[in-house]
Amino acid sequence: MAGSALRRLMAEYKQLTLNPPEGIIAGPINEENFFEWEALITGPEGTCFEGGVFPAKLIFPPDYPLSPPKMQFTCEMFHPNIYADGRVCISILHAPGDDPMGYESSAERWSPVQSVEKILLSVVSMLAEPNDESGANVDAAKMWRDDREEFEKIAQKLVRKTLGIPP
Amino acid sequence: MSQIDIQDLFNKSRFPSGWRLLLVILYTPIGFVLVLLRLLVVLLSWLLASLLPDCNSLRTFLSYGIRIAFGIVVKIDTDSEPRDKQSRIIIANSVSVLDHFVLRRTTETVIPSVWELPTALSNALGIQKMNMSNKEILIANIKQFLSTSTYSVSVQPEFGTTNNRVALLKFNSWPFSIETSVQPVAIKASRSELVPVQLTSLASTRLTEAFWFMFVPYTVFTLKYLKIRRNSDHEILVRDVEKDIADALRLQTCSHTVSDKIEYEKRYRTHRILSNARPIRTPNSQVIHSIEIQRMVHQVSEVLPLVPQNVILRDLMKTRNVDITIANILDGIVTYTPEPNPSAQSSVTSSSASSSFAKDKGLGTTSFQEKKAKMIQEARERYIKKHGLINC
Repeated sequence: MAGSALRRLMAEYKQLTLNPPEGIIAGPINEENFFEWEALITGPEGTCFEGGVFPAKLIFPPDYPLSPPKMQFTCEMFHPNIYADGRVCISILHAPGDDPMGYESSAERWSPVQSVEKILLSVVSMLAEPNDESGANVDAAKMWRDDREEFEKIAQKLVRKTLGIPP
Repeated sequence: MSQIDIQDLFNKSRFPSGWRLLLVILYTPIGFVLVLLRLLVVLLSWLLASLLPDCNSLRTFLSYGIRIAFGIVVKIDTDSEPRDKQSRIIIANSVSVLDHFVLRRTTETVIPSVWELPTALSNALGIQKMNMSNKEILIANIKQFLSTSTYSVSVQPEFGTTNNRVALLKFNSWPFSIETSVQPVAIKASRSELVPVQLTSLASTRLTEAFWFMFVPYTVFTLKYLKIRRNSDHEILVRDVEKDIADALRLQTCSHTVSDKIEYEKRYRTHRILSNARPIRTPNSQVIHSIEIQRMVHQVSEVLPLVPQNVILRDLMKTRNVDITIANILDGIVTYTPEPNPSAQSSVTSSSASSSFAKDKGLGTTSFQEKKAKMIQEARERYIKKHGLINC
């Protein structure tokens, strides 16, 4: 089981190194352990996270790609779909079985044909367009809805922090 | 895992073929008049439900209105067991978009739904608004509803309809964890032989399905209650009940779930759009078909590079579903001899594979660390330039 997971992860790493999507790099933290990756994601242009480079950690289960990996930002984040501890809450990281009524399309959910690249691209679009119905960070969701200006201020502060520029 | 082909489970077209189609065409003018009249009944019911306060006589009236508007006739099978009030969860198979109404007519049950309608109307229709954001909340909601209401709750654990000729969709197990006993009921539906329009068809919306209810003269639903099933292990209970209902309907059970149906519908829709959009350039549907299969073989191969492609292809021809084939291979249902040399294999299957990975392993890490530093540095410079900061 773990053998096929390892081969798949190696193939995905190779693919990401050869054709990296713009503004994203990802790879294993340590060659000895292919099940823990680090990724850097650039905040998409024209959004309040523009310019920032956000580090995150990806943990893969031994039965990957049957089960989805877990993703957690390792820098400070303030976003409606990211928990205070950095864990990311988006549908692609959930298996289709988590949806009780099967109403949500299974395309947006985890399946073995998804990939690390697709997850990271989904996270980029999540940064650009938060889903304020998900309650991962209620304060952020509320501020995103009611006080966009303040939200942007906080986001810019975080962007500077990731670049090591004093506010 | 059964080998039922998912495409046998659904009606691709609602209409019959051959001379029987002529019947439908001849009937069409009458059908449209019926639809118009029935729309008036719907409108009237809607108005009354929104204007009048909720009371029992209004509910009865609306129930009649809906029955006329959709031409629904409900019968109980002669071999049916009595409805046993001990069990407050009814488990039924899905046959149409109006099952909740039929269940409401014969048993005092409601089905959880996301729609918010005037109380009397939703009660007459047999639906109850509940929070469905996740399984646990919904289960808690149903439990609370059962403890405060005299109504029972129906659940259709297929969560999707089939053509009811081959097999049931695989039952979802969570509805069986609400209570330890459930009463199964098998629903059958039929329409007049003179206007043979099917109840469901693939990739159609609730609204179109409801429209065809209004179009045909009537739809007969036959319900057959089965003996109560009890088991504290919901994983066993679900399979028992699934078997009971399937036997009562003389159908099989299968491993396709509602997610497979949605996935299949999506592929069917894209396929239809493709063949409509380019009727001349793609004269042969076989071409599209083989491209589609090749793409799926490629996907499976990316996940499981050691499995020879001809083995993947053979299984895909049967399942036509990437996820199922992967599961079949991993579960050992499909056996194969691994490709002797993974590096040779992967360079054939895809350019992305890790043919020379071992060689540049060390190099990979250093360049990754370097890339990281470079990326942050560049972003930093861009930021400073853009915002005109000098002192950083």
